[in-house]
Amino acid sequence: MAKNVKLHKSSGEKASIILKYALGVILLIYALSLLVPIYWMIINSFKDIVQYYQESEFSFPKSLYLDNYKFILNNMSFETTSKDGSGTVIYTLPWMFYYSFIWAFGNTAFCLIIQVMCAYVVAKYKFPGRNFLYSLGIILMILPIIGSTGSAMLLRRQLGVYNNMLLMILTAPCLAFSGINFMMLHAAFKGVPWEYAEAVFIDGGGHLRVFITIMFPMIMPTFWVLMLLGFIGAWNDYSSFMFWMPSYYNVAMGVYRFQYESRLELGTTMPQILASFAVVSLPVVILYVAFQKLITANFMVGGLKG
Amino acid sequence: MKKKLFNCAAVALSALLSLSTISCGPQTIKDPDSGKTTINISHYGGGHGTEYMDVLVANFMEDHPEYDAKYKIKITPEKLHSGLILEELEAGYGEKQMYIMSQNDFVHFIYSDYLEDLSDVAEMKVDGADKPALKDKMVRYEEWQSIYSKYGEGLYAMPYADSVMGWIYDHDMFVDKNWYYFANEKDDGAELRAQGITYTEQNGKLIFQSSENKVNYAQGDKILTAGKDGKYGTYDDGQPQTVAEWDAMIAKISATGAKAFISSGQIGSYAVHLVSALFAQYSGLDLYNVYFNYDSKGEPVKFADGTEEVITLENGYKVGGMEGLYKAYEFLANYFDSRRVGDSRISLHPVVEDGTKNHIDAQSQFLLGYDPTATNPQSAMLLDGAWWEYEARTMFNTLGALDSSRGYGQREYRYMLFPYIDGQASEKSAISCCESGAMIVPKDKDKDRLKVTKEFLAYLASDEALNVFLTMTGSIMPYEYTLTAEEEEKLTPFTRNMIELYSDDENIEVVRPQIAQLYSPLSYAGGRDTNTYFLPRINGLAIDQPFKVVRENSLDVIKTGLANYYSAANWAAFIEKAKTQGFFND
Amino acid sequence: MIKPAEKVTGDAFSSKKRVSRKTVKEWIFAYSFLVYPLLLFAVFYVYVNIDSFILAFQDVNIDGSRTFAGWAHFKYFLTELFAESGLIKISFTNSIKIYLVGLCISMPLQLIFSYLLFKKCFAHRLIRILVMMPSIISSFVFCLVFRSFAGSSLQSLMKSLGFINFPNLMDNSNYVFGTTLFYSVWSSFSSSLIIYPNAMRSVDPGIYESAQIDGMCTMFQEFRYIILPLIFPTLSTFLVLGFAAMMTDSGALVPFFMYSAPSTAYNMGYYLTVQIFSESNPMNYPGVAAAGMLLTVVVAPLTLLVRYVLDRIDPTREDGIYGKKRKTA
Repeated sequence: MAKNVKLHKSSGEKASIILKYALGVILLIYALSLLVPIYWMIINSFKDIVQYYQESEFSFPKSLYLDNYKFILNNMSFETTSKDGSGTVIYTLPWMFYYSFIWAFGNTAFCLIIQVMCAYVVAKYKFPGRNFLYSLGIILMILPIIGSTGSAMLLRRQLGVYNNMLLMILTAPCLAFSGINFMMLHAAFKGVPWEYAEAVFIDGGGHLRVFITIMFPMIMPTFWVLMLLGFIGAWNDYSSFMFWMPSYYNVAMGVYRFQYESRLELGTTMPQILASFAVVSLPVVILYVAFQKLITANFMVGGLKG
Repeated sequence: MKKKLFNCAAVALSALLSLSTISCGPQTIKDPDSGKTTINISHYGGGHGTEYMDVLVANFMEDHPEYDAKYKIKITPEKLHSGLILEELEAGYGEKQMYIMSQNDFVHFIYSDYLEDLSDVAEMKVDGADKPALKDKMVRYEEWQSIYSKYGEGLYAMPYADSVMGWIYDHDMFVDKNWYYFANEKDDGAELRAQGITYTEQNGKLIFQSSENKVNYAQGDKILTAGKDGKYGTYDDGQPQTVAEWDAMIAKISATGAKAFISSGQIGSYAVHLVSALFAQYSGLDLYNVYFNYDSKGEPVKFADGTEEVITLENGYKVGGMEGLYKAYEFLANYFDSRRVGDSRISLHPVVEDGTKNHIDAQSQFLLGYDPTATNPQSAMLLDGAWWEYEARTMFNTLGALDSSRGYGQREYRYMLFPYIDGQASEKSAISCCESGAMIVPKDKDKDRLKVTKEFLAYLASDEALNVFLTMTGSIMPYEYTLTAEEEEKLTPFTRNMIELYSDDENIEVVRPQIAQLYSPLSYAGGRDTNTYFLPRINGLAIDQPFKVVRENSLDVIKTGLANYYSAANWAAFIEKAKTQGFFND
Repeated sequence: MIKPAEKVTGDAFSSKKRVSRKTVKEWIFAYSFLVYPLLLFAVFYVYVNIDSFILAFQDVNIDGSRTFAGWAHFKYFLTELFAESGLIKISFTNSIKIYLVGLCISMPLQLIFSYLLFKKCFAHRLIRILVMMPSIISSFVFCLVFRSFAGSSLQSLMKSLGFINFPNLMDNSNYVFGTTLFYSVWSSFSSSLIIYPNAMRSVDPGIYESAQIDGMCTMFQEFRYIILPLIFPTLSTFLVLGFAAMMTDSGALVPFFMYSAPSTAYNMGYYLTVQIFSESNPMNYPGVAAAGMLLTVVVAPLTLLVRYVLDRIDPTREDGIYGKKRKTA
C-alpha cells in the first residue's frame, strides 16, 4: 500500500535517504568490528606459542595448529572431592558440559518461573503491600550488600544447601521480585489486557486457570527470550560453582581455572586458553544463531508502570 | 493457544527432568585412602607450583608410617586472599588444617584467636636432636616473631618463601654480545693474580685458565671485571658499578637493536621491589626501616625537600618524604619515563607498557628474544623473581625441543645489581625479596590430627624439605641450611648464582617490604591502606605502579606526591584507633 | 493452591473499607504466588544481610570484635565525596559521567541504529546476529582484545606513523577513563538493537501509512513524531533501570583490570567491588556498608522519581492519543 502513495521525492527525502545509507554504513562497520575479538580468539587459538609471541596477535596462523584444541580436549579435566568427602571425582569435559547444561537450564528455568509468578501478581493484582514490594524491588537493585558471604555460607551449610545443586537451584530465587528480569516480565504482563481474563471468569474459571491458560502463554515470547539470555549467562557462570558447589564442575569453571590458575599450575599457554574459550563459546553461539529468529522477533520490553 | 500451553508444559517438564538428573554424575573414584583422617592444606604455590608438595607429603609419610596408616595429607592448590580465608575460618566450612599463601596479612587472624600458637613447632629439632631447633634455623627469627605474635606473645605463623626479585639476564648472551665489562691486563691483572687466578691474554681480553679458589669460570672463558664485591668469579662479575657504566651498558644494548628492559605491563607491582631496593641501597637499612616503623631513634631524617626532622610515631606520616625514596624514583625515571623520546637510556620492550601481558608473557618474550622479530625485539634484562625458571617451564620446554641448549636449566642466568648511586649511604648493594608469604595453622579440635599437622609443618623446614623446595622451584625458604656439593650440582646455574648473591652478607643487603610493612601495628590496627607502600599519592589518588608513576608525572609532582602520601589530618586518628585496641600503650 | 474464599472474612481491612469477597480471593491468590519467593527472601536475603546494615554503624577491630562507631563512616564518606579530589569523589563523578554518556550518546545511537534496522537497511539480518556477540562470548575475550588493541597495537601503529608521543590509551591515567567509556558505548548496543526495533514493529503499520499521506515523509519526521512516542515505554524502562544501576554498575573494569584499575578510571560500582573483594580486610567493611546505604538513600528515591516523571510524560498513557489504539492491538 505504502508504495502506491509515494509521490516524487522531495529534496528533504533525498537527504534523508543519503543519511540513511551513511548511517547504515556506520552501523555495518560497527557490527563488523564486533567480529574482531572473535576473529582474534580463533586465529590465536590455532597458533603455537612461538608464533603467538613472535608475531603480531592479528597475524594469520602459519598452519592450522590443532594441538591447542587437542590439549583442551585431552587435558581439561579436574579433580575435586566428592560431596560426602569420601573420594575423588574426576570431571572430564563431557561431564563439565553436562553440569553446564543442568545449571544453565534448570536454574534459569526455575528462577524465571518464580519471577513470572511474582511479576504476574504484582502487575495484575491489587493487594496490600503491592507498591511496597515493587519499591523494595527497586531499592534492592541499588543497595550493595557487603561482607555477607560468611553468614550466607554458615546458613547454607546448616540447611544443607551448600554443595547441593538441587537445593541451590530451589533456593536461588530469593530476589524474585527485583532485578531486570522481573521488571521486563512485569512490563510484559502490564501490556496484556485484563479483558481476556474476564472471559475465563465468566466461564467459571479461577485465578490459577487464568494465569496458566491465558496470561502466562501471552508473555511466552518474553519468557523465552529471558530464558535464552539467562541460559547463556548461566553457561558462563563459574563463581556459583567455585563458592557454593565445589563438588560440581561446569565448563566455565574449568575455563576459569585454566585461565587463572593453570598458567602457573599446569603451564597452560595463552593460545590454549583461547582454544578453551572457543570450545566453551561454541554451544552458546550455535544456540543463539539457531534461536536468533525467536529472540529477534520477541525480545520486547514495555513500560514500568506500577 | 494449545500450542502455547504445550510450550508451557514442555518447559516445566524439561526443567523437572533436568533437575532430576542432578544426582547422576561422573564416576567417583573411591579414595584408596578412605577411612583415613584428612589433613587439608590449602596452598597457593604461585610461581613455585605445588608439585614439590606432593614429593614432600610422600617423603613425610614414608618417614612416619604410623601417620600414614591413619592420616592423609591433601594439598588443595588455590589462591585465597585473606578475606576469603577469614570467611572460611568464621564459618568453619573450609575445614582446612593449614594455609600456605603468598601474602602476609594474617595478623587479624591472630588477634581473633583463629590460629594455633606455633611456638612449640619453633622448638622442634627436625634435622636430629643434635641439630639446631627451628627457631634457630629461621632467618631473622626475632623480627618474624615480633610481627606474628599476639601483643608480643607466641608465634602464630611460619615464614614461607623468600624470593629475590630483580633484573634477570642471560650471562652467556651478555658475554657473546659484549654487553659486559671485560677484565684487562692493565686494570685487573694484579688483582687476578692476587686472587690466585691464572689466565692468558687474547685480543686484549683475558682468558681464564685456572684458579686456586672456587670461581664460576671454566677454562677458556673470558674473564670479566670483578663487579661490586671486588672478587673475580662470582655472581656479579662484569656488571657495571657506577651509573655512568650502567648507562653505557644500556647504550651498548640499544646499539645492537635490543631493548635493555622487559617487564610485565600487567603485574606492575613487581617494580615496587626496584623502588624498595634502590631506597634501601641509597639510605641504608636503618633509614629504610624507619619508613615502616616510624621511629628514627632520635636521629634526624633527611627529606627530599632538603629539611631534616626526627621521625616519631606522632609525625610518622612524613615518612613518604624521605630522601632515599625520592632518589629511587629519580633513578627509575631516567630509565622508565617513556616520554623521554631520544634519550639513549630509555630502552624498553613494548611489553613494559602493555597491560594485557602478565609475567608469563614477559618471560616467554624474553626467552624468545634470541630470535628477534618486529613484535618481539630482543630484551636484555627481565624483571622477575627467583621462581621464574620453574614458572617459564612451558616456554623452556618448547625451546628445548627446538634447540637443546635453550632448554630448562641449560643457560646461565644471573641477577643484575643496581650501580652505586651518588650519595648512597653504604657500600652495600640492596636487593628486595618478594612473596615472603606465611604458613598458618587454624585451631583444630582434633588434637591428634593437630599434632601431625604441626609435625608436617616442622618437616617443611627440615633440611631435606628445604632442599626439595630449592631444587624443584628454584626458590628459598628463609631457614638456614648448608647445601652439600652434590645437592648444589642439581640446581640450575641461575639458582646457584641466586644463592651466592642471597648469602653474601658482606656486600648485599636483603630487604623484604612485605614483612617490613608489618613492623608497626599501625598498618593492621590503624585501618590504613597497606597495599600501596612506596607509591606516591597524586591529586589525592594512589597511583598503582612505579613505572606508571614515572612515565606520567614530573619529578616535582612525584616528590610532593610521596611526601603527601599520608594525610597529617588522619594520622592522629590512626594512632588513636590502634591505641583503643591495645597497641602503643606502653 | 487457592483456598476457598468463604473461610476468609477479610475483617482486617473491613474496619476502614469494605473489602469484597472477590477481593479477598484475589489477595489470597496473589499471596500464594508470593509466599515461596518471600520466604526465600526472608531467609536468604534479609536474615543473611541484617549484619551488613548494622555494620555501617560499627568499627571492626583487629580481633574481629565490633564497637559502635555512630555516624563516623557516613561522615567520612561524605567528607571524601566533597573533598577537592580523592578516590571516592572520582568514582562518584565518573559514575555520573558514565550514566550521562549512556543517556546522551549510547541511547540516541541505539535509537538511530534501531530505526535503521527497523527500516530493514542493508545487511540488517547479519547485523542483528553480530550485535549480540558481546553478550554471548565471554567478556574476558572481548575485554582482552580491546585492551590489547587500545593498549598496545594502536600505540605501536601510531608511533610507526610518526606520532612518537601517542599515549597508551589503556594505561595512561589521563586517557584510561575515556577509553573505558568508549568501550562501554561500543559494547552497549547488543540487546537494545533487538528490543527497540521490535518495539517499533509492534506499532500498527496503518499509522505509518496515514502519516505518509499526511505529508510526514522525511525520516526525521517519522522518527520524531511516530516512532519515538510509541517506543517511549520501552525507552523509559531502560532509563529507569540505567538510573537505578548508576552507582552499582562497575562497567567492564573487572574484566579489564581485575582489582587493579588505575584510580582515574574508577567508578562507584567498581570502588565498592574492590573494597569488598580485593584482598578484603574486614576493617574496610563498615565503610563500604555505610557508603552503600548512603548511595541507596539518594539513588532509590531519585529512581522512583524518575520513573514517576517518565510515567507522567509518557505519550502512550491510557488517556493519550495512542493509548486506546495499543490496548486494542
